[in-house]
Amino acid sequence: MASALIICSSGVQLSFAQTYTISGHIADESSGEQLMGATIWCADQAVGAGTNTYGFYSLTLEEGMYDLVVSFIGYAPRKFEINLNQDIRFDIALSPGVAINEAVVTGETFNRIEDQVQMSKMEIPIDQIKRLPAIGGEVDLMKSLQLLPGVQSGGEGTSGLYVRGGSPDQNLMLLDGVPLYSVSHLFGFFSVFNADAVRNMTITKGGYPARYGGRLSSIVDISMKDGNMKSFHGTSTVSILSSKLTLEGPLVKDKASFMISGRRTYIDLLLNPIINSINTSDSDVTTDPRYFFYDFNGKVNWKVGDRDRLYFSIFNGRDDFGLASTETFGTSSSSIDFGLAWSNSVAAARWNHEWGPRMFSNVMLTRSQYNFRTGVEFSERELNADSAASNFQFASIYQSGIEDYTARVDFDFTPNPQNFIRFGASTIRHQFNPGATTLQLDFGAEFPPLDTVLGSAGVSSFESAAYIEDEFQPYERLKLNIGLHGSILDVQDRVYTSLQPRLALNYQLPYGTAVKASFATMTQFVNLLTNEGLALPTDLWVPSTAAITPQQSWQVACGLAQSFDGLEISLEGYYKKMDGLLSYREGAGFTSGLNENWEDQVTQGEGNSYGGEFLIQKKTGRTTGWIGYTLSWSNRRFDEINSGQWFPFTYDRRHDASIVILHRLSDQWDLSATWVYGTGRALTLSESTFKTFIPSNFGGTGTDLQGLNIEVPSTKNGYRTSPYHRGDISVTKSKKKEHTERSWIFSCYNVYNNLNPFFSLVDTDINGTRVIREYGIFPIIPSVAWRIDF
Amino acid sequence: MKNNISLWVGLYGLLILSAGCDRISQGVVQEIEFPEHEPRLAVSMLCNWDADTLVARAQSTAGILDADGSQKQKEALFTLSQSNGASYTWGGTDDWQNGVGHVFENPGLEEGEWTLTAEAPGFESVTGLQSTPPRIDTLNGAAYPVAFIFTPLEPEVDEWPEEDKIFVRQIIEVELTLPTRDNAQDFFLLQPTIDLSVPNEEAYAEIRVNWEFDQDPRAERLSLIDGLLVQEVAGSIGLESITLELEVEYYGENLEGYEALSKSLQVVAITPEMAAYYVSLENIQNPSGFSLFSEPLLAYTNMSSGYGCFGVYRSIALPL
Repeated sequence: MASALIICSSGVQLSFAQTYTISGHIADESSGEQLMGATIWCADQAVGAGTNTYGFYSLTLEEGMYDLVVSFIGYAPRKFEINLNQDIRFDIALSPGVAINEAVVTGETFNRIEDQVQMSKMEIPIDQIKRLPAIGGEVDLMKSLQLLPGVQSGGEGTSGLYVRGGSPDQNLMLLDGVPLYSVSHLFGFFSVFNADAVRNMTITKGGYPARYGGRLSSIVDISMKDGNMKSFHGTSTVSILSSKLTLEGPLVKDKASFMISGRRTYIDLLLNPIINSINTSDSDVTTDPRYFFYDFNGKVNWKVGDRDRLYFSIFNGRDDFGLASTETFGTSSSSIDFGLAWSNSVAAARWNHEWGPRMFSNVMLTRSQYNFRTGVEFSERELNADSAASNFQFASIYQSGIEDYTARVDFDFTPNPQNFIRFGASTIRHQFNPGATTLQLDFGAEFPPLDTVLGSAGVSSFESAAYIEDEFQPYERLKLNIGLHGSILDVQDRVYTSLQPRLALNYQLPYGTAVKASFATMTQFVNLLTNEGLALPTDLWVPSTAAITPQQSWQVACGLAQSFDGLEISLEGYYKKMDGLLSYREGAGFTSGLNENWEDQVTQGEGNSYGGEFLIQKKTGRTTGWIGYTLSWSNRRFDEINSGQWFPFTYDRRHDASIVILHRLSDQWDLSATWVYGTGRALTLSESTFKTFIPSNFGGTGTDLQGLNIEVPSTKNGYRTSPYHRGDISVTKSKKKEHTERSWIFSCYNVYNNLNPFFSLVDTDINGTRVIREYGIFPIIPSVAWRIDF
Repeated sequence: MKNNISLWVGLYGLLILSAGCDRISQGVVQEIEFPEHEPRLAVSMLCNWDADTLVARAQSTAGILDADGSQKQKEALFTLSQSNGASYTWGGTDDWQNGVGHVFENPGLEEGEWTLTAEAPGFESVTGLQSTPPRIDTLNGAAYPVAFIFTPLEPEVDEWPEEDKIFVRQIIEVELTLPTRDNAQDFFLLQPTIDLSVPNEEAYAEIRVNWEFDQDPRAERLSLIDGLLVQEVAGSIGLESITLELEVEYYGENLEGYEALSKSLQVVAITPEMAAYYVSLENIQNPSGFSLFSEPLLAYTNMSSGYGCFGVYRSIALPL
């Protein structure tokens, strides 16, 4: 494959005379923030280049005079003439703010949907995300992705992503290039990403370029702001759930910058005084409930020289939920503390280096850690007659987690205008702790204390990968991206290897419509063990082991894309086949396996998903937004589930639709509204009964049969909850002053108060009749938030 | 413009307060109707292939709101057939025996793959497939042999003179080697049985697996039969040297009465389908963990209807 790429590249290069390269960075003029996805376009040659994640571009042309256009959505385009008779390094700054009301994306561009080889990739500008309606006024990046076709939510209010029939663990969530394992706050109702700290977010649902690997279903790539290089700025938002503050500015003007952002909820601070005031009637009992989450992002960006740049970034987030209670009876007292806490922390150091006008590299060292802990601690203390304290203590603490250390290097190489080659390698050391319970018992001095650990042993593994891909244009109307991703896992004295070919093509029809197709295979060495009924932070991250084979998939997709006067339209169909999927066996789950090895509770199987997605999106003008629709099927089969028969995946949704409208009424007023619809979730409910007869005494005549009345579901996921539909609306009033802009954000979640099921149970009503109850959790929720930008 | 917008925002707020609050008061729970249940046939035929009589049962399935529940189908017809053309049909009211089911006098059915078809008026016919397990035997040179060593420990005897009775407790150590095949999965049920053949006297006897004994990982408890399911597990060497303990309790007049008890260990070779059916019924009857946090349990089936099981077994009694 690699040699084929080189031959192809060389063949194209031979047809050129003397070529030179213009390269550099494209940045925001006012902040110095690098612009990812900006384009530089040479209309004469009908070729262009886009900036990479770090704002770097490289455009190689034959010697000559050229008119070049640099553009990016939301910025005024810049045109300039250049005499390319040598390699030129040219950093470009674009002015923001002109443009959202105007169609700045013209025909002279490189980055129209029909020009991109990459399919199944979508981006929502952060500016749009911030204007979307949100629960409690808390803008959420993951929920905004759920509004896109092919991306579904797990349930009412939750931030998990189910992409093209995949499960949440099959999404590679990258924060500044570092994988995050749990992206949920508040039991999944919020994601850990603070929109104020984020510069850019994309999701890739298929046709994965070779530079990505390690997950089957999607790549969510989130870049934090680098920090303003020019001047000090900040944003603060106060909502009914939380407050957040973001500060950014230069450490050394145009040389180094910082960005810090923090967010904390204050449900506990608001509720505790109320609960304590209720408890004043019984002074012997004190109760201290707690729930909060916080997250913190920080980044330092340092231009070491013209060709080198260093980045240091950290993220830390934590949820803590629990209840502590103390009760006093005369000379004795007892206390109990139940808790549930989970945390993420990420640290990354990156070094960008330009090896020349055509070669750019990024070296990255990262650490990512996820920990989950739950348990109960009980203690009893009594004063004896001789005043010696007699104690009884019991503690049961369950912990799981994962810790990664990663080294990665990526190269971008542009040998000529027709070829854009990327290659690189990475290695990750995973350390899994897939669930262990610590039991501690202390009956006092008379008995020996117990302190033991039950459950699964830790597992460490090394995952390494290398890739090469080339995006090139063999014919005028045909663009290709061919690549190969290879990965190796070394775990428990077993080595798994995987070669994953990738192909994407774009063929432009004469009237401008692009026909796109892609094929990608993926391999995944980590798994999330979760109960289908309820996703909790108790879900276990577990590795592929000697006994558990990696997850693998192949996906083929094809579609059409075209843009008309600021409207982008795409239609895609896909088929995805998955193997090595991991699931709890029937009857197993988190609570049944606290003291058991997780490998004894799981089974592996296969899955498929297929469907079609339609998206019409308007990115510019006073009114922006999109309409998306997905028709899809997703199925699973495990030997040990549903008698080995195929069954619908719990998030198999036949229809999924969304409408998003953002309208700028005036300079002061913004209006946004969303409406979503999804077919009901597939659930397994006991709704049938039958009597069966089994031999009870094998020493008899064979006619001694024992009758059993069995209540069971007729089939796995054979029942559908009510369809999901919801409308949200948000109105923002902004007022600009000399150095600040203040905004009031009024939003309303579930505006017509539809009861959307969160979970369903077979229950008994007051007449003793069995009923199916659907429990919703979010009725209509109006909220208000206040934001200041300075 | 500004005033208009403020007016609309204000009106919207009032709309929420007037309409929304009313609905909030209705709560966030709604009851919905069960999906309509389409009755199907649930067939149970778990039979000893070497027995003189084979029994099949057909029941209708029912929705859990159906007060009548699952109903026996006396008019059901059953057919056992093979691809070589062999076919046997029985059933209907003539073959129905109350308290037993539809009884079929075994003509000495051959080994091999058999298809069971069940039909009943008003129901879609259903089928299931089984391959008979080999005949298990203790003879040297048998094709599917079981080897065993039983070591009875000294019985503990408590005398209760006021009742003129004795209480005996005895442990029997068991070591079994069960056969395995290269090209098939082998499953066994172990069921200790005791026959209190002392009629008309106040006596009591029980035999059970001693659960306090450190259990062999290849032997899984099956409370449905008060016994064990044995299968190969990862890391084990076939089904050699499976160890367990049996515990016998007797309450009666004298030690002779205890020694007259007929005790045996039933070793039952079953098919993988029958093993899966027992495991799923066991899990349904004795679930572990909280249901909200566990994967739902379904009854295994190898019948085309989705309910019931056609299973075949062969057994041998090992006297203790």
